[in-house]
Amino acid sequence: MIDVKIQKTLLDLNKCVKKVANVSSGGTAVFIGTARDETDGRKVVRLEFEAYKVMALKEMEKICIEATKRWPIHDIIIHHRDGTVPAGETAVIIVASASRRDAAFKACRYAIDTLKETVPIWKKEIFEDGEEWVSPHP
Amino acid sequence: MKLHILAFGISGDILGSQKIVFNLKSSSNTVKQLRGALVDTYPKIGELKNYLIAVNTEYADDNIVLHNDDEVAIIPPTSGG
Repeated sequence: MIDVKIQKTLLDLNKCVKKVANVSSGGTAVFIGTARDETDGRKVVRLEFEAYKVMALKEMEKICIEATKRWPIHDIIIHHRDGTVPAGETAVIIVASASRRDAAFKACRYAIDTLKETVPIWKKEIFEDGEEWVSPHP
Repeated sequence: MKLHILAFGISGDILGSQKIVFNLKSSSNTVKQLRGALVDTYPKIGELKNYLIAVNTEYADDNIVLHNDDEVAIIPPTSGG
């Protein structure tokens, strides 16, 4: 099962984990990305995400398909926030399940690393005293 | 030809809008030529490091040929997650 979502509302970890629960899946790996409250010593109040939603969902699905080709995983979920995310809230959840842990860990790691490179989503950090688009290659 | 440009992240700030209609002169029709025309109109786009272009929601190389009414997105380095 592949499940990708981009939503403006809170992400639900329990729901994601329940969705992949299966007696044949002995290992489930979870990655949770949280909006940090500081960058380089500056206090971050919130993040503002912007997504090219149609394309981002397509790219997220491509990542899931590629992960299922590379490792024997059963299910993979990628849920990402859009819009305003206050510091402390979850920005992204990735869940991958497999018979054994190795495939689950590897698929989960691959999914978050690739998401950051290819999925057209951007975040702006809103500081107490200004704002800035986050650049992965400053 | 008429292109529907979507400008995300910092490129939206440069264009002053997230969505514009851009006219590419008839002698130009590739992504590479569009990149040149965008920089002519918005010089600051040229200062962006390695931005990508997507045509109709797929990443597009410089040699891809554009068509009237294509949706073209300017994709600065992404920062999701």
